[in-house]
Amino acid sequence: MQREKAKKTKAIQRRASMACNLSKSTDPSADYVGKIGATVQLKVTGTQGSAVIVAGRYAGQDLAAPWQFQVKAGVNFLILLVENSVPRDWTTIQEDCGSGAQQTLREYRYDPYGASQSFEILGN
Amino acid sequence: MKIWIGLGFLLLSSVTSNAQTYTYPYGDEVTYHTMATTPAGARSKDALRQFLGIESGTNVTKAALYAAGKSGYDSLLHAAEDARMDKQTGSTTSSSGTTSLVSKGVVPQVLGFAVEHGNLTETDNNTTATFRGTGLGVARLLVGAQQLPYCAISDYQCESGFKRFLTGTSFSVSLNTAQTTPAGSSASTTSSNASLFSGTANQVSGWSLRYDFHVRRKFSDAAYLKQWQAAIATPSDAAKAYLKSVEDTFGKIRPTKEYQDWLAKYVLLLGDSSTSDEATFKKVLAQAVEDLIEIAKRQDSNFSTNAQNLLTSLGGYIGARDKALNEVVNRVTYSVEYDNNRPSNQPSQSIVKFIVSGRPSASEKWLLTLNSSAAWYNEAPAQVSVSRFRYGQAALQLDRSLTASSSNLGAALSAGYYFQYMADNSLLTLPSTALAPGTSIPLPGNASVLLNSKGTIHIGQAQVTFSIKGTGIKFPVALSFSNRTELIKASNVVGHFGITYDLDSLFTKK
Repeated sequence: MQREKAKKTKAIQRRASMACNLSKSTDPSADYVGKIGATVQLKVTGTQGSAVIVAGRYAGQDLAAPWQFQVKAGVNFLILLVENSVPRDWTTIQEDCGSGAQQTLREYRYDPYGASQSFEILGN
Repeated sequence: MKIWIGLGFLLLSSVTSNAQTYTYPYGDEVTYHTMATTPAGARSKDALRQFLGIESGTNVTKAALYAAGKSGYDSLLHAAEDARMDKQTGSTTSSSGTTSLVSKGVVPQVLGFAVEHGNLTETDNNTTATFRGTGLGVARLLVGAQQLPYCAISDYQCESGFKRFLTGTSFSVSLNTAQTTPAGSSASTTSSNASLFSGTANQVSGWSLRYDFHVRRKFSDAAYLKQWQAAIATPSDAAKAYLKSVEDTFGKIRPTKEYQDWLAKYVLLLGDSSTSDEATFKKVLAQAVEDLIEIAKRQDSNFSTNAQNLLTSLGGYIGARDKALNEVVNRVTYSVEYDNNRPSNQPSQSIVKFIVSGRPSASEKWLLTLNSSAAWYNEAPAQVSVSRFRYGQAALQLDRSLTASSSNLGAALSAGYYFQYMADNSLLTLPSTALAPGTSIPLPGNASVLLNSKGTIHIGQAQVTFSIKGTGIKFPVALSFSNRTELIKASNVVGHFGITYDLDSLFTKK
């Protein structure tokens, strides 16, 4: 029974990694790399509290709900303003890869006096 | 652990200082503690990289505070102040002397915030000037703002119990500024009741002490979370401005080789056994911030200006966020107030008032305020027999914001009903310089007369308060209808207008 469950989990993870459009960058000037034109859907979660994206910018343009962007060529700056109802709660920024799968882009402790988080995204 | 914003730049200049705001010079506060107490070899490179990275909002704020110094911190406070003031003008009608029927349940939070710089707020209503202050403001004057620093409205952990007590405590002193002709002066040969009821110039017409008890919501409350989610998205313009300023300040630095080298150097250093003890860890970290700022300055000639702008926009955002969350966090407030009233030509009186204020629903713009009070004479005069208990009173007021919080010209509508039961006839004191009513005969000395004023008073009022965004200026305009006044049994229709100005904005200007 447990083996079946582990197999299912692995299958979900595989599907997730296949559907996600960002991957860790080996280039130190960027955090993540994506194919130019690929759509990245963002989401956030809190551990104890409720987390929401309040504002975002990518490649010099404001983002709007539902907080997605298309990867552009070169290294571009992505910045999100994420609020959490519980100060100092562990907060996760994820790429929503569809079909219930997601990958974590960053985990951090929410700071009400510095609620932004930024990334460098390399498009190629 | 207290985690307070502010004066981070002071900490950086003296890594051994014992100040309590943003306790550590750089990095997430909790992670810092873990890192500093972990043997250097056990500090992972990935964790150190994230701890040092300028992509974290905490590091952005700390680095900007370091770069901009005291003026940057002032900019942050001032911007937050302005944004919070807009909250008050947009959503609630603050007490404005005689133009308002009820005492409001919340002493505007801006007072508490602004008084940290030592200022008071003046409210003018043609005849009375009221100076208000909070316990927190007085304490900050005495011990310094950094000892009681800024806390976000939903950051309960940031506030000490003592600070919460000070925030809830407020006081006021009212001065009668009317330039009326005193009764019995040479200019008046036919004295009238009207002139007797007028005040004399520049006298203290009352003082008050008050405590506001805020009923705070629990983070785990499902209703709170729903309302929080609805409210938190409100300051979107301020949020966008803040993100843009972060991008302008640090966006260019991040991909540069110089920054990558800096990161690699300090990841190595802080992972080295030489930084195992906390003191060395802290010292190296302080040096890291200093080096980072130098790199930023080399990469961007406008860096210092951008850092200053960043703090201003951060202040604007956190102030706007407080404004948006105020309705959710402090949904119900209970207040107890003691007023010592010294009306012209009447014996001084004490009034104890109980106030409840809240919003029926945080998603709506209504504010409901209920007052009840009891008043008595401080001393019963010997000449006449009158009950020391003067009146009992109850009032209800509904306020609704008519404009969006982002509007430059705000408007709030208020409607109120006031009931007062006069337990006995009113006592009027005639000074020795006055003429006997309706005559030109001077009185031999102070005298007391009783007016046939026992009974009930009903007052209805409609009020619109206009406010100008970012200035702290409000114009209340009201029309009230009453079956009688305290001293005269005749129906009365009165128009009121006033101007209120919050001195906080003046004191926080650079």
